[in-house]
Amino acid sequence: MIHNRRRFLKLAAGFPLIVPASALGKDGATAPSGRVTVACIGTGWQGGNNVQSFLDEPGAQVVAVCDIDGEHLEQGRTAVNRKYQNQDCKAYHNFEDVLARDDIDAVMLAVPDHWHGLVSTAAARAGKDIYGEKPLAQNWAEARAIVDAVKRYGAVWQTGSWQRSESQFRFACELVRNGRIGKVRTVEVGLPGGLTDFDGLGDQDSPMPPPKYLDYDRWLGPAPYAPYCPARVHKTWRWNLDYGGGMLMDWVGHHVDTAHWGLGMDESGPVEVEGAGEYSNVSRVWNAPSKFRVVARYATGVVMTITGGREGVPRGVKWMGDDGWVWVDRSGIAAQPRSVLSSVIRPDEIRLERSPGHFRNFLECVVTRRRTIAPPDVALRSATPGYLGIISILTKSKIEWDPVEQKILDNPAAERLLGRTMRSPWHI
Amino acid sequence: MMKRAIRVVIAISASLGLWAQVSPKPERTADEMDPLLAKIATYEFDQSRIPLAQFTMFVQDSLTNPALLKQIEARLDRFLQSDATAAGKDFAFRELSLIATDASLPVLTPLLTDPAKAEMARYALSKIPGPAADEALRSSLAKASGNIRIGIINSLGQRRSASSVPALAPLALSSDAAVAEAAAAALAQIADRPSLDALAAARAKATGLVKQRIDEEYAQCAGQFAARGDRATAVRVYRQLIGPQEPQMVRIVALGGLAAAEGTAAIPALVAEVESKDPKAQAAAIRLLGGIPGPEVTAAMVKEYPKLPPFSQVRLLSALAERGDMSVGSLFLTAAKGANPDVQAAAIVGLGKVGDRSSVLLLAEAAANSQGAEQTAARNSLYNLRGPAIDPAIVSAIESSSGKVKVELIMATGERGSTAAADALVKAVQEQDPDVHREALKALKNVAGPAQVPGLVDILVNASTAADRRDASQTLALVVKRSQPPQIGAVLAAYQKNTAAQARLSLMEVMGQTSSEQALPVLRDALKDPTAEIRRGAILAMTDWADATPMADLLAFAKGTANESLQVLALRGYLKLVALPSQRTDAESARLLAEAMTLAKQPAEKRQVLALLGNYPCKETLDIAQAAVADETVTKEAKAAVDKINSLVKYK
Repeated sequence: MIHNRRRFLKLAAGFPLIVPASALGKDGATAPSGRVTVACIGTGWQGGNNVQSFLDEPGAQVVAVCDIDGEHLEQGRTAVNRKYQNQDCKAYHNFEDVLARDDIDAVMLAVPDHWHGLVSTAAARAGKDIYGEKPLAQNWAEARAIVDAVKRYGAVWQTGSWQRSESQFRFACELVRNGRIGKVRTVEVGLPGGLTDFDGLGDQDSPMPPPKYLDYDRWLGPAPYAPYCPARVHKTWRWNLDYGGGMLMDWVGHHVDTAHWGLGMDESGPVEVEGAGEYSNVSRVWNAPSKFRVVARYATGVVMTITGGREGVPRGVKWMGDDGWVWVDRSGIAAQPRSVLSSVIRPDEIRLERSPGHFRNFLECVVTRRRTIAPPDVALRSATPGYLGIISILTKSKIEWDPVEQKILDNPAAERLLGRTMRSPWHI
Repeated sequence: MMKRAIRVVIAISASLGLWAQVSPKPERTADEMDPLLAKIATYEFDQSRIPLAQFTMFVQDSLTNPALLKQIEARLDRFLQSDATAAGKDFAFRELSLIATDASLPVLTPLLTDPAKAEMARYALSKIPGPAADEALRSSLAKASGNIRIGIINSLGQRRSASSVPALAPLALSSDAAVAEAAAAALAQIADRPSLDALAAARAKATGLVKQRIDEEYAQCAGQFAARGDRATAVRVYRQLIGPQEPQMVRIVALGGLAAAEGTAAIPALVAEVESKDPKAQAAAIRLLGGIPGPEVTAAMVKEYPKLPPFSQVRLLSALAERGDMSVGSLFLTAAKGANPDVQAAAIVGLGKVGDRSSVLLLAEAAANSQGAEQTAARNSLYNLRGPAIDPAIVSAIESSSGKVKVELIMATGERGSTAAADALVKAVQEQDPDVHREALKALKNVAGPAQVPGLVDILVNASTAADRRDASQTLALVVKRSQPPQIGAVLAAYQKNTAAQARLSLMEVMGQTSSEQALPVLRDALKDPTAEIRRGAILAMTDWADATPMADLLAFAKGTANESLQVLALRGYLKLVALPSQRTDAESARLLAEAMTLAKQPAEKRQVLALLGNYPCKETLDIAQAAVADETVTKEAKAAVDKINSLVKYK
């Protein structure tokens, strides 16, 4: 339950005003009063990058930062004040206080996965538009709750699946969608594997008192209690299944999202998923699979294989059809036959949305109230093979899935893992 | 040291067995449990997780064995009652969350109100299906307090426990705001008739923030009725919540529900909100109207447009564009010519979806007269216009326009792949305006067909700048390659007709890019041309070949020429063709490379040969590499080649 102690301010003070920026986000200076006001919740690793991205957008004005790590919070505030050359950025510990502000139009959420559902639904309920990091949530049920809340409260939502705003990914998907390689039979999705020790703190996995600048109990939030250690939090939380979903869920919102985009699966999903994983079991804290292979089958006959940590499987997405293949990654695009890359996608064919940039697209949609290029219902569909893959790995069972009703068929143990029980008092 | 050794062992043992699709699970037996649980009984968080991981795997392997699962559950229940560590019991709760049944309720239920174990007991118990677990939670409600109590309420809601509504209903009236809100949320999740009635009763008595929250849950509950087909009930609830006295977010939620449940019947309520002074609710109403199909909705939206301030007009135009209803094209055209730049911009973006032939010139002019994001938007809209009349309209506009507008239209034909514009583009290439000329040449790459080949040949042979020659040759090559059969005849005829060196060089470039067999006799003759420049052009064209057909020609030239620079060029070309994918044996490739090595006089060419040797690992290439070790200028590369070939040969 979200304790919104200052919610009454909204009722008392009148309605929030949104003064729109230029519909297209004019280059050059935009007066502060013409910008979308943004608060950044989660200013650590990815959050810090996102703060900078919003600071670089002339149509946005970052007015507040929020983090339960005092060091991250100060870094965020410093970055904002440095950009605007003033001391106006407000810093908050609790996101509820941010959401209570009527003058904030939108929030950027870069909190650990296990917090996504709670903060996102609270933000939608508070009338904020949301730029939310991927994957949509730590588990399927909370991801679904986000989709429902965004729809119910009429929020504009952008998922941090920024590959949809990059031209090579879009072009690759257009080639596939428009039959340039014939009927697609298989898709290979290559993801990183392993449990990367980003900051070299992986060895620090014995319990110890949390640092004073970190509100650890709040950091845990809805997750079951476990004692603090550096390996459990910041960046490497994603290797513990209470908070994240390993490399599979870390990347599903990128390459599986692209795979689905190319298949035209934004409103559908697999009918069967099975996965296998391998664990290192060295860490006292990291329990996500370090290698995995998930096979998702679709009613169209397409088979998608998602592999992580395996030699010989290139990163990226490769669609293979009767007449050739297309491969795309952040490093480039390739196709067989090569002439496919010279294709022109005509107006009467499927032309996917061109984005001016992922953050720019979000801000434009905040103003125009259009659907973004990466809305939450699509993010849920993209993440579903990952959620089901993890469930398959953890139950060692094949998951039969109804993509219309969005439910697991005849697998009670697997069904238990679609959602989780939150530590009190938290609930969506 | 020990820790490291353990890590090695663990890593090795963990790598066995799991790397496959879901394979048949190993046969597990109950007697595996006790040794593991003995270790887990003393587990603390600063210890290795190995026994826990092993037990988890044991449970996973047992999920299809009901008899064994029953034993596991019973054993874990006993474990919870033992003097195992808190951390060990924490783990047991987690495992039970996957497999627990009513059989675990006698052990778990008392723990629901134990402050030290309540959270994890609920973690395990909440996943047990069926009414007995509901009753266990319910029976603990009265005994629980604070967050523990709220947690139980949350779990009853998550379980959609209809039998718990009588217990939850009075809690929605609690003076404790947190309890009231939790209970309201739980009732909304259960969403049966008694829940709805309980929420209605609660909202009648609640005030302030709690009332707002209950109202939202009331609307949420109604949404579940609508989802089940009971729209009448849902609409009745929504209409209670859309009044102007209701808080903004409650109205927005109710309007959304109304729009989904009633469709066009919701138009009056939505229009009323569009005409309200509340920008956020107005924006929501505009968006909701946009999502209801039907011409009457389009008409209602168009009717509201002139009443709105500019920033609301932006939103309405965006919503109309998303509908894709082309009957609103004229509204967008008018808006695109209006005074407000934001509205103009929104209209230009929207024309890409609802525009028709009458939008062509406006969009081209907008693109021509703007920069940055506005220009991109106008271009995108021009490129996306749909319908059979668009391309002809663009062609017609090209013919009647000039300057930047003409350039934009020409660019559009290339982006659109408008083959109908091909002749117009060939004509445009002849224009004096350098931008028109350049963009027409570029656009032809995507647009030209066999009929334009003669025109493109003329453009190529008459090109006066390197950039033009490059664009023209690339375009011509693409078109020739696309044509079936390849239209190389015009290129060859032009070669015979044009004696100017530059023209011939350009045409040979096309021959190389198209790799047509018919061009080979021409290129072979060119290899014997008295002019070095022409011979050079022939070498480059053969080097560009898509397969190894001209390889022998290049080798013969390299052997026979006295011109050192041409010899090097031919040798490099030869090596490039050797390296193309082929069906040759490694020994055959070695023979080809040996020929090259005898001709290579400079270190650069020798290194090129040595670099290729590793692609064909065999005794013959090894011999070549070993012989090169004695050459001081390439010793390092030769040794590297030897090593590579040796390592690859080992695996063959």
